[in-house]
Amino acid sequence: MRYGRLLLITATFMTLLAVRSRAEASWPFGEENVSDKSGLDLEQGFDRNTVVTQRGRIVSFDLEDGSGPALAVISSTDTTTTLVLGPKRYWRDNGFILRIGDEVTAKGSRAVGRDETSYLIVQSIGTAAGGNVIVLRSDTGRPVWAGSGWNNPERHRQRPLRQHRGGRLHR
Amino acid sequence: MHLSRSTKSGLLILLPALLLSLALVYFTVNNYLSAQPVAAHNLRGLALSLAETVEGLVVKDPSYSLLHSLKNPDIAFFSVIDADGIQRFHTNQELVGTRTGDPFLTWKGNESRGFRERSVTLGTGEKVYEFVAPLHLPDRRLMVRLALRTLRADAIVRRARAGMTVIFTLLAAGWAMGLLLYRYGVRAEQHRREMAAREELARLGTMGAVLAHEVRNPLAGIKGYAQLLEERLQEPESREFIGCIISESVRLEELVNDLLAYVRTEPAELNHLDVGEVLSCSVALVEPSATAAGILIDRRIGDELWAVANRDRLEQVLLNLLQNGIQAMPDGGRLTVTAKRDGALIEATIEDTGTGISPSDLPSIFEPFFTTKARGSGLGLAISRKHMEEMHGSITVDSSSQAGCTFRITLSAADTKEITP
Repeated sequence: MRYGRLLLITATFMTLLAVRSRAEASWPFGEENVSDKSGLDLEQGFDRNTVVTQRGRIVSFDLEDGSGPALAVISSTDTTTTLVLGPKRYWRDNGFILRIGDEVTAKGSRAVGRDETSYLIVQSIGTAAGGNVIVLRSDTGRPVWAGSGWNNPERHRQRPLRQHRGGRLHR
Repeated sequence: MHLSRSTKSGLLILLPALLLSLALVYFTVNNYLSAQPVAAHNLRGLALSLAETVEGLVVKDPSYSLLHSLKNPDIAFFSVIDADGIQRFHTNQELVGTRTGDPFLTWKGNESRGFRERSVTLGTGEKVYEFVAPLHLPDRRLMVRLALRTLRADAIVRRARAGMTVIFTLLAAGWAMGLLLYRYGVRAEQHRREMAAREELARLGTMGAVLAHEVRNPLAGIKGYAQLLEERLQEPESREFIGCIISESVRLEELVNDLLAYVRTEPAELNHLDVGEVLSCSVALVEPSATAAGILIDRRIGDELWAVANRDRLEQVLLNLLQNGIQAMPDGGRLTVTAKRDGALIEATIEDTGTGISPSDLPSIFEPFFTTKARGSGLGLAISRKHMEEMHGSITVDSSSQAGCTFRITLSAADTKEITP
């Protein structure tokens, strides 16, 4: 009986190993939020070095209740990017909305997560037709919904180019 | 060192499996350990190649406009920095003209060095490989700073780690299965042996019944008549022949008795008894023959050694061991007899200084009909072991062929001399 149980545990473990999940670092059960999945700091992260401007058509827009920031996905001829738009509540309170199919231009800090998805932590977003531009962050990356203490180093994780401790590549 | 056949065959399977497992572990760990340098090498190669491209573009177009055409999915960002630390080009045009405060990116102190590299985490949480190298230009001192995504390099390490995990898991599962099969095989073998022993006992039991009825009674008659004849005959030669008949009859009688004792199946009645006292009585019985053989008996018997046992059977075991010890020293010697309490056990040892038992005979000496004596039945030690097992005790032997041997019996200790209900 004891050995039967051991065999069952071994078989279960091997089955779990055999089932590859989308994100390799995650377990194939339980719900993961987008920050965990990407390995990026999508709540407060920003880096001026990687700021780019991207154009594309909105293919999805998520303001549903749940953890994580508001997200939209834009698609252009050669790339698909997930726009990280800040707190959902901020968008709801201000009545901001993005329509699927709209052509938009978004400027922000670009990063590729370990889920191999391209994210743009948006500074500003506007329709390509020259309509209203929604500004979400300042040039330095300060969110407009943040309080006065946002740039306080003790409160905020503003740490561009943090060197790895024990990084093997460092000389 | 003597190894049984099953142990040898077990080792024959175990050793190759162990070697194969070690080889797999070695290659897997080696593969994992080499994955990181390979990943770093790939990144460095890409960075050197990109730096060369940047150099070519800057030579071709000193206004840096051509650098905007440099696209690569692995580039997080890149910039060109002059000797004053001012970024002359940056993929984020807003940063062109700004000064970098990072000492890693300044010329000062790094002039003599070639390229530099490190791992950094950007403000977005993305980990990148940062590479800084001087550009070889005739008129200006510039260096290129490249931040490359490590996803592909990480994938190499991740794949190696996943491979290692799978191999280790498969190995663990394989060994677990192997151990289970081995345990199952050992149990099956043990069961087979028990069944064979039972069948043998059953055969011996049948033979014992035949001996009891068909041999023992006529034997008693032969012995009785021979003894009568011995008393009546006067001629010395005839008396000698009759003596031979009597002694052989006695030997046959003993053999039959031993056989009957070995195949007896009724359980022994267990009481609380003083092992020291039983041992002293047994020693007293064999002492005359020991003295005659020039053997000194050394008694080291404690008091109040109460144990759970059957007196008759314990006596038979002790007498058997004492007689064996005496027979093992035909030229005299010392027979040391000890009895003591050892925790929850009563232990008695009988140690002789005789010729000992050869290592090849040791595994068989408790088997029935195994004997090294010319006229032995080979049942004495088999009966002793059977009796000890019936009393829930044990019997073991420790021998070296040069320095005699020591038989050790153990019984469960009893706290009082009261009879077990």
